[in-house]
Amino acid sequence: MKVKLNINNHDKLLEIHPGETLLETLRNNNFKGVKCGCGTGDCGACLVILNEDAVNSCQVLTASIDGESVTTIEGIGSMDKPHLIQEELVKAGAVQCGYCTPGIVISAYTLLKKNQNPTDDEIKAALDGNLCRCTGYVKILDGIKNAVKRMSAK
Amino acid sequence: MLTNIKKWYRPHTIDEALSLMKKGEVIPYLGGTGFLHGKTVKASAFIDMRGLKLNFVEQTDSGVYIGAGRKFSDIGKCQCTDGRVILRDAIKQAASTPLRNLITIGGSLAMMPAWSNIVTPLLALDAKVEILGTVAGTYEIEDYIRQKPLDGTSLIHRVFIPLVPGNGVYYRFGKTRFDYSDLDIGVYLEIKDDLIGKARIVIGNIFPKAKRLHNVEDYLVGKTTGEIQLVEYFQKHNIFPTKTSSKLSEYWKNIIHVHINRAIKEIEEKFQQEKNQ
Repeated sequence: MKVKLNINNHDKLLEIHPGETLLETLRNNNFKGVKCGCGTGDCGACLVILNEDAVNSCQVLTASIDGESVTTIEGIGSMDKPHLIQEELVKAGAVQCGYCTPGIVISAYTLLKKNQNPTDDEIKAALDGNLCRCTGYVKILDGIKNAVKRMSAK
Repeated sequence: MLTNIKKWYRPHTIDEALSLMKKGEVIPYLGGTGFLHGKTVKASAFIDMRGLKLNFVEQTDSGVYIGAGRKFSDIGKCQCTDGRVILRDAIKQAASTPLRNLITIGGSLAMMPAWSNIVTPLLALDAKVEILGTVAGTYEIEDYIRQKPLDGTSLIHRVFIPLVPGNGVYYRFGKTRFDYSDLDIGVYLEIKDDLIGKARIVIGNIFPKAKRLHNVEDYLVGKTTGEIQLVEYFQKHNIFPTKTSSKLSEYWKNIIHVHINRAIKEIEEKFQQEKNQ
């Protein structure tokens, strides 16, 4: 079947299987920043922004969002032009293996879009769907707090 | 991928959706999280429910209607200060932020996944579930849980929460923040002239085993909070979680006693604060 999606501000007409997940669709179409972790909605490696909210793309069937907008990590920053959240995570040493990082950036990005001055508890709550087995989270929180400071200074 | 899904229907009315369901092997799709966890469904087609606009909230003189398609993240934003805080607090602790952006109240009631937290607060609020289709009717939440009336040709339209002017508390216990709850507790009280006028006490653990403790509620009604001897009452009556390993049952029994007591004190404090304002 065919579906229309707006991915990173580009309209796309995609041929998909009716039972295909958004994670599968995105990776099949070369959005490799979206990672497959658990496949059950527990780890957050596959997070994308659906309209305005972060969702687990492994838990969304692509056909169920026909006509809607999706933002992946590729739509937020790139190697040449990283988003300031990405820069601050790197500076804080919050990226080790990096597999969870796109999902964490998506969570932080959607939080800061809605709340530009979050408390520590609000940051932790926004990250409650992201698992990281390398860093222990302290550096991730430091990186996001530094990003908040930079955004407020702008 | 759900390989057995071959087709999607996109109706614009509930009647259209219900007639599609009569074809068989067709399931309504709201948030979708309940389907993908198991990687298989007993259906060959889904009904995209977005066109039915079931994400509404309707406030009336007798209470509030929540559309089946209302997402947990939206319900969790409720600015309420009455008994509905039980539902808000329960939902805010269910699953994770990105999953709550997908999970719907109707889907949660239809699928009854373990991570939902939805039954305990709805029992504490004496909610009703409105179903359309072959088993159409308005079901008391206790009847809905007992009967599990959905039959494949009916769907949940909305959930009704009557006016709950009292106060409530919700507690949840899990091994980790993200894990299913091992035990949850919902307490709703209405206090007038220092006497408990209405009480609803609910304990639950792995969904959907929540139950109301009607005997404890009867014990509480008509008493002042100072008169309540809950520990003694619990010692006389065997009140356990609905399903718990026998090795841990004494532990959970004590957790229940302590937290129901704590909830009553917390509600009384809120009541006194409101009285003094």
